[in-house]
Amino acid sequence: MRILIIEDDKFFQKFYTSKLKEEGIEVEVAKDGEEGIIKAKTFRPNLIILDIIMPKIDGFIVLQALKADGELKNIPILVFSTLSQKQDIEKAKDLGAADFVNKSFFDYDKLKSKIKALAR
Amino acid sequence: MNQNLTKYKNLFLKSANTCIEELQNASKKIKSDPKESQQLEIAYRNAHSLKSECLTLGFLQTATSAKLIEYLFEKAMEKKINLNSLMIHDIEKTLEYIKKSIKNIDQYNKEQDIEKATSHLLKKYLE
Repeated sequence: MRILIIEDDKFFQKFYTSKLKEEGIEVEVAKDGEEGIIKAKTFRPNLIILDIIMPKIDGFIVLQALKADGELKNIPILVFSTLSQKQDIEKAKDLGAADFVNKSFFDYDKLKSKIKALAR
Repeated sequence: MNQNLTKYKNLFLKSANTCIEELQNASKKIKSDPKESQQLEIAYRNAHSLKSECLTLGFLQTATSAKLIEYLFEKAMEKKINLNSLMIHDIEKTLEYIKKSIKNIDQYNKEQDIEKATSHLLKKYLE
């Protein structure tokens, strides 16, 4: 399985990469949305994990761009954020996110089961 | 700290201390020019990172204090508030409490109880 993480925070880049690699998952990291869109085309992931609050362009815009791209629109996207308002979750899902995970209270078993369900 | 997360403690401490340093540097520059947009963005991003990392690892009080700082810089960036010297002083004070908490995490794997010290600031700005 191949997962692309689009995340600007270096701690989370290393944290998620380490966790996912323990499961034998191949991981690529993009530090912002622009790089994320480019790497989605070159890396061809089974799943994208996408942060929302990022510099230059936020995750909602990246989500729209990925879903508008003919080559990338079918890659499931799991949005990760500390944004937890109902409207943020609804916005992400309206824009095409397959699911939404709150970064608070990290629960790896929950994350694993969502990845399993989405990256089939 | 959750047993499964202790192996990420050093990664967290390195990142958190970097965020705090960047915040302190940005705050100093913003003191002399409260509308300096580049420094406001640097401060906001570092406060956001600090908050998110603390939330992920379960350090809720430290996260709440970082959230206060994030909020003030976000509103300043959006030009909804003008950061005055009292606000910057409150931000710097909150950062000192966060530093103490991070030190506690380093030594004892748990955050310091900073709720009493920061509750009046949280009430002042977030409620």
